[in-house]
Amino acid sequence: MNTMKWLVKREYWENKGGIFWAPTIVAAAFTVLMSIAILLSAAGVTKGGGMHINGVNVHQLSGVMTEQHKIDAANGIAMSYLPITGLLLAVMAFVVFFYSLSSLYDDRRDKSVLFWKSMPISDSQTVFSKLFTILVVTPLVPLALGVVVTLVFSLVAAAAMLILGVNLFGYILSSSDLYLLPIQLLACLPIFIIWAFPSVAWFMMVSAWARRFPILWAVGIPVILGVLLSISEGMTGVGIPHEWYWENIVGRLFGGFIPGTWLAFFDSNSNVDIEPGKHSGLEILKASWAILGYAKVWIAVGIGAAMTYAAIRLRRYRDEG
Amino acid sequence: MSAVISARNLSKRYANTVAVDNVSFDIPAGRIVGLIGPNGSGKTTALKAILGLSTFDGELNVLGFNPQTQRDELMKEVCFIADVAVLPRWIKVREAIDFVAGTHPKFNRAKCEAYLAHTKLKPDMKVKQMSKGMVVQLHLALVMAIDAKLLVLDEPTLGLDILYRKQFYQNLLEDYFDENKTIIVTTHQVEEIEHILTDLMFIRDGRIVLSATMDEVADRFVEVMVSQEHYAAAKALNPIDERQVFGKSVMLFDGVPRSQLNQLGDTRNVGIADLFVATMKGTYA
Repeated sequence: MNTMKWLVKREYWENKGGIFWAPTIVAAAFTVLMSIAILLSAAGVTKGGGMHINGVNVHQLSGVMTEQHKIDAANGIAMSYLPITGLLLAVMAFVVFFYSLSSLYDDRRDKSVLFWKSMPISDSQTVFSKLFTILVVTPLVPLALGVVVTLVFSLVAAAAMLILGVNLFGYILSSSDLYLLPIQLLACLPIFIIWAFPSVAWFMMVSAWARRFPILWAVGIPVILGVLLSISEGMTGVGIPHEWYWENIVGRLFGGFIPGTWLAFFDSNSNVDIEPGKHSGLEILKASWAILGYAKVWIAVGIGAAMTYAAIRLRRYRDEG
Repeated sequence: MSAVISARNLSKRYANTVAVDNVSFDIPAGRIVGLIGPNGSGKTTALKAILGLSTFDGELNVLGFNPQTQRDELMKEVCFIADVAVLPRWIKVREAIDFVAGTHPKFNRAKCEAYLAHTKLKPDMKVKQMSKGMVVQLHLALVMAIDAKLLVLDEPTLGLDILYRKQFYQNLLEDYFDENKTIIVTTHQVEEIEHILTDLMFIRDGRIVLSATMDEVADRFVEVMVSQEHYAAAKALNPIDERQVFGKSVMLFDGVPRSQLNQLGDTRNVGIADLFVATMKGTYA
């Protein structure tokens, strides 16, 4: 297993920019801008401006805020882990997209594949180390960064409220979402892995196969096929299931990179409520794991496994001569 | 001692060319083989087949393994620099060493660091910041620190200055090589490896045109500086090459006894470079 450790490290060294720096820079920029905005508006409120937290107008607060208002405001702040991590996960979706595309292509292009192939490492180890890094290591970074940003945001928001004469620190710290949401989203990671696997496997297979421009093949083949199907259906009207194709192949392929899209793909999950203080994390968690009951999900995993096998074979026998 | 590499009717065809054409050879252990051929002669293709990097027709056995189907096992015993030293541009010296140390059971970190101590490479330097020669230095240091049974070097010194090239071949011979190891090396700078080779293999148009030990080469090929009065007699012995030096004819003979040639003028052993040029005449014609 030592080899695997070094292969994953190798992946991290090469892709540190995407795995670590991209979400970190976005998180840092977001934290700074948001802190400035909150503190400025808190300062503005004292001069007669206004500020809303979760629909509660916090102008001239100390007198009008009831106990329930405080709890709601604190729950709203504690729940910010969801939108904050959502933003970072969106960045990660791009990283995973481009990482998968270049994973088995870049070293062939610059011929350093010959160096990697001179080491006693099997091609399946190489492919699995890349899959593991893309699907497990990469998502852990935004999930962890989200915790840090949420804590900073909560502190800044509470400080701003304190300027306005309301002390929310205790309320925020006693909001269960502050602690549970990171764990609940982490518990959704296996679902992301299962969901993203077929999409990543397709991109990696193309990445191992394409002589040039893997992005054109990876994106072009499914899209052009869809256009052809739609045109054929438009011209003949014989009932080619082109809409099914667009949703279940193209939509599923690109949706696979974006965490949470699985909730939109299955009807029974469309009623997830995201509201402060309503255990939204639990609902997301339950609805996410519910997709394992759908055959479609497992069929896609099977196709992903076949494509991973193909990627390993291509990596092994593609002649770089 | 059984052969380290044994090839029978080895062929490699691309769409419209034959890169390696029905070649058979054996390379025993403890040899340093120079694989010499002009550009496009099939050297790299043959080496890639040996290293399991490409498919081929015919039979090939490397250290008891079939490179096509048993590459993973084979790579534990083999190390190579194929097709010019290439290291990933993003990697740092330190990372490269850590990686090889972590994944290769036969890597000797101290040895690698000792080689690097003679260079200007620093642990935090990235490959993309290095000159071409420095990349080669790093790659060679990594490869030389691996105790492999078979080492394949395809143009290992390209981009290195003459000082470092000499040093490298010296190290290869003194520190690396022993009777249990086999080294195959290709290079265009033939003169520089002449003195370390034990065997010579000339390849041309995908075929092996000469395969001999250096002793055999010395026995078989003799160069004679023919004096004017013996010119006709020498010509009658069918020299394979003839050139003029200071108004005298220098002729290269294949298989003519040295005692006989001594009567024609001063004899000497032929250099690989001259032998190569004589053998490859007309390659680009």
